[in-house]
Amino acid sequence: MKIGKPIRAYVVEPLEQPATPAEPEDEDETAQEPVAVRDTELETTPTA
Amino acid sequence: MTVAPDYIEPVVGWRVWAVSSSDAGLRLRSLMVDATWPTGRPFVARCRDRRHRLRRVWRAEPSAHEPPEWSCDCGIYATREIADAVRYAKSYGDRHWTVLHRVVGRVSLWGSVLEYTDGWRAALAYPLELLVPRVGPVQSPGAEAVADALADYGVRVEVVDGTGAGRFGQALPALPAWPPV
Repeated sequence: MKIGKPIRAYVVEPLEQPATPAEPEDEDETAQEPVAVRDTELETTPTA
Repeated sequence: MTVAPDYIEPVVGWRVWAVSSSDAGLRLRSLMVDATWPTGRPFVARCRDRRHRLRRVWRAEPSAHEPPEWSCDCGIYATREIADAVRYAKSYGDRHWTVLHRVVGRVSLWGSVLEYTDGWRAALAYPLELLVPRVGPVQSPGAEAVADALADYGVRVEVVDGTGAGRFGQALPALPAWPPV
């Protein structure tokens, strides 16, 4: 792609991330399920 | 070393993408390189310049540079004028990948940015708005299906009639001046 002649360089740091999350927030609930399994495992660990 | 930013708003330019099939569905793909644009996170530029790699071998230069760099062609490209992006798309064949459709749109650029008279090269990018021409290649699943799939990017996606720069320009308001005042 031709974009002409060089002018200058700069650094851009947007205050807000331009990349928009694509997944609905409900997805997070699914991601938390393994945590519950881990809790169960802890409860069944022998204490003696 | 931390570099203080020169600007806190992303640069906005025009770009053209191919649309190809992936495991996750239809996704934007760069025209020049085999790279799929992810959803929900920035597309990160990577230098693939073979000349630089060969030169490193013979001259023992540093193993890599962060794109973009003046001495290289790497980086994520965007144009100031929509006509330049559309002209580029029309001049570019379907090449190596299964191009199901082509879309035009605005892209946010940030990180290290090199400014040119007619556009920019940048380190990071994400689509801002996408325009899907109603007419596509024969292998296209159809503009509406493409638009539905590209909604995964979480940005405005619109199907437009025609493929001319004027049509696309009418569908989106004028770009803000850069740099911001």
